[in-house]
Amino acid sequence: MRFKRLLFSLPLIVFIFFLTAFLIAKRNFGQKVNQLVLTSSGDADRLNPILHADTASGAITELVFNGLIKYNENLELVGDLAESWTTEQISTLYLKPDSGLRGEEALSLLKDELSPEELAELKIKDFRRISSVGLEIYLDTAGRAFEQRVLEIISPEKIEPIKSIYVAVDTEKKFADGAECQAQEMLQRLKEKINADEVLKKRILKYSVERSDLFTVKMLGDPQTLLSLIGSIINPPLEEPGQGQEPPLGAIQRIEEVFIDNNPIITFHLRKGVLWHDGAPFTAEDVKFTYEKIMDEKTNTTRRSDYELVQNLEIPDPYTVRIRYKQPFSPSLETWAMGVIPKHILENEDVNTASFNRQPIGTGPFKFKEWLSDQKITVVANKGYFRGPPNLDQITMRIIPESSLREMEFMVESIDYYGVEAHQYRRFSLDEDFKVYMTPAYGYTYIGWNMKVPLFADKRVRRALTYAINRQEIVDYLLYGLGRIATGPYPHHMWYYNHDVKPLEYDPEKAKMLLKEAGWEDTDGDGFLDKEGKRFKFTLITNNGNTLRKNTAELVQRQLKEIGIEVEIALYEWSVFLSNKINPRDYEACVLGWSLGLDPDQYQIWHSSQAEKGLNFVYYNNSEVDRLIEAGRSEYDHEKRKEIYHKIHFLIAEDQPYTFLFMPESTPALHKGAFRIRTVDASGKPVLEEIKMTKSGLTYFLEKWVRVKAHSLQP
Amino acid sequence: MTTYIIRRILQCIPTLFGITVISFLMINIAPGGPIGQQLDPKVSPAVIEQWEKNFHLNEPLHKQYGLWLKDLLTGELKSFKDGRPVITKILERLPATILLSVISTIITFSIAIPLGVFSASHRYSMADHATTFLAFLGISMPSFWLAYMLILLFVKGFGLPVLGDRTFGLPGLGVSATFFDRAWHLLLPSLVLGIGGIAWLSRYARGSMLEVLEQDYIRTARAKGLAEDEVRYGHALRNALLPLITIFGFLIPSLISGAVITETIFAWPGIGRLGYDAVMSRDYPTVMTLATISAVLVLLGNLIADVLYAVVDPRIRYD
Amino acid sequence: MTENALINESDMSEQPSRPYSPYRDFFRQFRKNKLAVFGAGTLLILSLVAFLFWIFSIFEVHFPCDPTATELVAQLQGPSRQHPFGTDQLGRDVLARMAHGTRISLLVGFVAVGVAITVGVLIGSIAGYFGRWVDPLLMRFVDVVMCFPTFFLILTVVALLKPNFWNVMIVIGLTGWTGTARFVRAEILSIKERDYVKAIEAVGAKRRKIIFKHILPNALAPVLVSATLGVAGAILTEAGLSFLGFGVQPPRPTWGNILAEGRLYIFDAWWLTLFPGLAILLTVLSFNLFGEGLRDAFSRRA
Repeated sequence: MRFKRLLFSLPLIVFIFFLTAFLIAKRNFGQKVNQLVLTSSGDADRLNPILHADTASGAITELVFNGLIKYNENLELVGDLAESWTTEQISTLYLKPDSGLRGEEALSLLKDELSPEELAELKIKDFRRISSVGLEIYLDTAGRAFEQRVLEIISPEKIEPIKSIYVAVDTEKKFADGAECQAQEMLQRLKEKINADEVLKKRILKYSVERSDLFTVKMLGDPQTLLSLIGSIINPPLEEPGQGQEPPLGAIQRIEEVFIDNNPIITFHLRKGVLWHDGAPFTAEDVKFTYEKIMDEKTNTTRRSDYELVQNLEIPDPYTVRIRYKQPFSPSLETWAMGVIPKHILENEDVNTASFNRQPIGTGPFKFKEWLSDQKITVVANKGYFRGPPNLDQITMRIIPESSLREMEFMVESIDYYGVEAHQYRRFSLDEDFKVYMTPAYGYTYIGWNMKVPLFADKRVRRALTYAINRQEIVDYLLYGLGRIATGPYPHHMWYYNHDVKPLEYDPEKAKMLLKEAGWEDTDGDGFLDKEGKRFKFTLITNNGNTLRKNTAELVQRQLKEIGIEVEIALYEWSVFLSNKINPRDYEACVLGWSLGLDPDQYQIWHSSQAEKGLNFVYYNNSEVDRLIEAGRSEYDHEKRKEIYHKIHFLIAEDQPYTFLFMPESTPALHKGAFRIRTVDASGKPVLEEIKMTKSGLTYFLEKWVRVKAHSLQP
Repeated sequence: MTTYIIRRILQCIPTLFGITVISFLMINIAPGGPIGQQLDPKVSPAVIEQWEKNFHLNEPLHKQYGLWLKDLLTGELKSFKDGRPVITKILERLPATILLSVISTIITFSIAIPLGVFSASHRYSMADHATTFLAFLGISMPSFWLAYMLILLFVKGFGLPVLGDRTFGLPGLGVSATFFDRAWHLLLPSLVLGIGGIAWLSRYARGSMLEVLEQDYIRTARAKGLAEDEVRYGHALRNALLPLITIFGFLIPSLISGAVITETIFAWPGIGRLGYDAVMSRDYPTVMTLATISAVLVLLGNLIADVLYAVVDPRIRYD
Repeated sequence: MTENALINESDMSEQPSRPYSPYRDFFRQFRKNKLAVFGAGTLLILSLVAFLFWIFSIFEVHFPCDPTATELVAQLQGPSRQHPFGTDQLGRDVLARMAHGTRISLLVGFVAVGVAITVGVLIGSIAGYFGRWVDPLLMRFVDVVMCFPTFFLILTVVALLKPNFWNVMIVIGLTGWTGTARFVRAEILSIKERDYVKAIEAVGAKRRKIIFKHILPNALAPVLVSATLGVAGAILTEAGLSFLGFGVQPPRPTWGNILAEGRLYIFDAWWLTLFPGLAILLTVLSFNLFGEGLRDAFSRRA
């Protein structure tokens, strides 16, 4: 019966077909080309250094693009697209008209008082008179070190403070005549009124629109007239009498006062002869274009706030970029490590949706080749790279969403680089086939105590909670020893970490004592602490999908139960966690982690002004810390910054707004002997070296990597 | 028949409209939003506000819905996540999803039907009980657990990679080697995807075959003295399998609805993962478009199934 | 049906003294299906386990040990005498967790199906019996729900509600009622036309009474079958949701989330993946076999 035979041979045919496939796949497997295969759990979103917001895109754009500067293997900033850079500063001060001191006199006073040695030490280059009362001081460096000395010579009483008036605008509202209530519009109306007032006009130094909802006016002298003018605009008088009071259109946010207005300037001298991957030359125009695109409100980028303190960016010639800042801001330099995008390609495109974001063109060591969505991104060696072509033919990033399966692919050498998880570390490091590296990760995990919740407002309670949490146990059993107890918000291997701050020891007795002091005691004998008839009980939230955080929460729950505190755990999907819990501050305590940049400035996390809308979602408020944070970000001197951040570290550890839990180690692994670093020695002979861990991570010298025993890739 | 089809299609329009409205409401009511997915110190509230404006998220809901509909119909719809046209994003995943579905369907049919027929013709034998039991085992398997066990077997046992749709990092291979490499990578995901189907379909084929074997005309055929094989495979089988054609109607939606779990595990770049990622990152345009397309396919599949049914079984008449 | 008919006759002739009972007939049919009996037996044992551990948890009897007791020094230990199914990453006993998980896993299945059947029967019978404008309206609604990608629906609703385990059950149930609704409607439409219903109606019985007393009992058998199979489906769905991190939330153990968590340790602790996987497999298999047995027995009786 033909049909019968056909029917029953179907399964057989399928079986034989796949058996053949298996055998052929097996035979071919094991051949390798000179490439490195990386992996990521999620697909990239946009391969554009000014737009991307995920790690996969970040890893690829780093290979394809260059910044003006970069961190080297010892975490020092060095030139990348810029060959070198200089920082200087122009500082302005104005004398009080009634002080009896004129500009000329003040100049000669400064010149006489400051010896040449002192000038050199303070790096003061020059003084200049700009008006009968205005002086400019030129410095060879940025910072405020000179300020004190200048104020000693010209006493503050003789100096007219410069006032910056910040006005917030309520963009939701409209003027009575129907005009949009934007900062620009409001400033326009204000200018008209000011221009009508000859006296006031002379005192205004500068206007600037900071954002669509914020503008500033800088002025000299008594601000009262100006304030009432602003008041008449943001609180317009009623058109028809008898109507109810109109709500104001804005508010005067704050007034800042300085004696000397400091404007740091960074000048980058660009490398000549650098070509984009399409052959066009790289010039300062590209840098300017990149900056302007970031600042364009239509661009959906997270990087805008990095550059908000830039006053202007000029390109005096095709290989020079001069950036003038509104005020000293020491973390500003590292923001120029961001990749530069080509003007000639994106000039007439909408940068949000441009095809460039899928086919990037950069200046980096690797050229973009192919991106298959949710599968892989491939970049190939850029033979014309300005530091010489890289040794690897290509780098592929595979997207494998299941983290537990990445390990399997690594084992069969289908991927080359794998971030070993803590519980796998022992197994991998004992295995002859693999080489596991170790370096501290830039981040820490913590429990944030929402201080708006009365329970955690008391510092004694927060300290008691830290005493009651056995962090060593968490490190030993959840990190399998691969990490250390965190004492504050900084990674322990960075220069700003204060080694004098010791972790609070695990001491449940001390915790109970502190809680008793704060009024928490087990009065009814049910095993739980209570105060005024209420049990010590709270909900600890975290995001689901992160086993480490969840397990941490479970251990903390158990540890706190031992001293009589009832903890409930709730897990939320990430997006819900942020928009329903953290952002509206609707939680009691949360387990979270920060991954940190290299600069110690954490203004958004700890400054009290960031409590309502920023990232200070625990409502940390310590005026001393506020002051130090502000000082730290306007200080350029390394030693002084170190001192400042050591103090901040100490104060935050004292207050325990978080219980700082741990800083994990990161443990990447490679197949033993699969890759080497190939360099050329003095005599021109190639040298192969083992791959070593650097402070900037394992892949810092990626351009020099080469696969041992590989087929060459046919073009 | 034609009028029937036209009437059915017209009936689908309000349903479709209802679906888009409900899914639009649901995704907008759902907590979490497309913006501010990271706790990034660099994202200031002003930036977030500007983004909301750029994505029209500050408009009232009915306006947003109108904008979405307009963009969808004009093909202008852009993803929130990467600014690419949603249609492009879907089209680029389509081949992978269809390939997987088709191969999985082929495997399912070519294993399940012989199994069911065999089972039916050896009713109540040990072999029948064994296939029944195996079929139920297949239905009862959590698919991700099965996938893990299979991957473990092949990776540990044979040292062969199975994730993705091809082996990575091989030097240029010939056409046939590439073909078989792709085929190999298809095996496990389509098997995992199809295992439930194999079990279900073999049960269905068995039942259908048994029913036909009890029909009078089969008895007549036997009485005529035809060989048993001739009766079974010549007469009964064809009639038993005809109703199965309608299943193709129901297969159409599965071509695109995808399988989130299987695709996630096997790193398969299909529609299911696109949809899952879109829901997670609250990429409203993508989610909405996928929901609409999948609804269209379900409605279309139902229609095709009904029509095929009428074609196969002349006793059924639609008017 | 020839073979069965013969067997039935012979069975009956052996016991002529006992009057015909549909139930006894049903059980006789059911007993013949060995796989179904195996399924029923397993389910009975599982239910006992679930009940027992529910009692344990009420009286805080920790047998064999406390499922929430973390014993970190014993983390990730393989099966041994003390921990027959090994321990997890926090040193909790997997057997104890699975035993307590039995109740929750079964509960997820039953509650989800309960919700699905209730909603399905209600909407199906209303649509089927009242007809007129109610029927097309409800059926369009069923179409709309059916067209929704189930998974998308579940994810959105789980995100919408608090992720506690009652909500997970309800959501799984809310996505599964459409089949029942359609089926019940069709059944009622066909029964409504039967002579006996028409006769009762002619006598002047109330509509509600007709639905509940005469029509629904007739549709009961197939609903029961689909409910049994539905429980199996719901348990699998919960496991799938757990895999994606949206199932019942830990520390409340279900087989699904033990398995989902265990997969991270697949090379370091195979027992975390194997045992819960087998438990799910066995339970779902039992429900399926049992349901199929029910279907067989009902259809042969008819």
